[in-house]
Amino acid sequence: MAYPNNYYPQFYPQNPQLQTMQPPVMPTVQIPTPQMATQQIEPLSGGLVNVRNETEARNYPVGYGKSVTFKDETAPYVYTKTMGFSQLEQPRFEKYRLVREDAETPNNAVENAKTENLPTYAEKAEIEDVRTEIKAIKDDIAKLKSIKKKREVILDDDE
Amino acid sequence: MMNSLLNTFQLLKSDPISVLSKRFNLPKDLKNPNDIIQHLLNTGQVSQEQVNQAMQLRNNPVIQQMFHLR
Repeated sequence: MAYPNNYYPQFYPQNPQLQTMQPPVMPTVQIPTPQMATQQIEPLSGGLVNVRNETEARNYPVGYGKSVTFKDETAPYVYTKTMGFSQLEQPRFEKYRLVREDAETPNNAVENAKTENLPTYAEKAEIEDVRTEIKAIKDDIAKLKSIKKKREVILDDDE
Repeated sequence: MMNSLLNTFQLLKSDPISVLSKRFNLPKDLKNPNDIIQHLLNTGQVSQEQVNQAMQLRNNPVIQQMFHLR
């Protein structure tokens, strides 16, 4: 007799003759298994062991052939300590600096500086306005110079 | 039963090293807690996961109060 499985859909043939041959499906009651009661305790920090500093991570006991990852509680660092498979092999300690991806990094800073130094463009009409202003100022200066010359000539004549 | 548990707890609190030495048959020269744990790991008496869980217990406020940590 086939045991019905609650987790996977059962295949039932469409042929009515075959359907009559099928044994009646017994309603099943889900009995809680002992596994549910004795669930494994989850790691407290998602697989990372919290340490207060690098020294604590370096001195942390690690079994042969095992590797433990540490998260520094006081600094943005992650450490890993990996032991060899015997006492002859030296433990390997690695230190990683945590960098926020959305924070401004030196590369980002260079990009931002580039965008800040880009030339700003003016419209043609604005440039024409500036040109006419400059021309007017030049004319004024030329007029003042001519007046000054005339005065000097008059003063020379008086002398 | 309750009294023996309390006695064990008191002994563990007052002299944890001697309790552990008897329980896990530790060498006499081992006094440093980290060395003891390393020995237990090397001899396969505890797993790395058990050590990690035990080490994280020190962040538990109840444990800190019980053993006067920090």
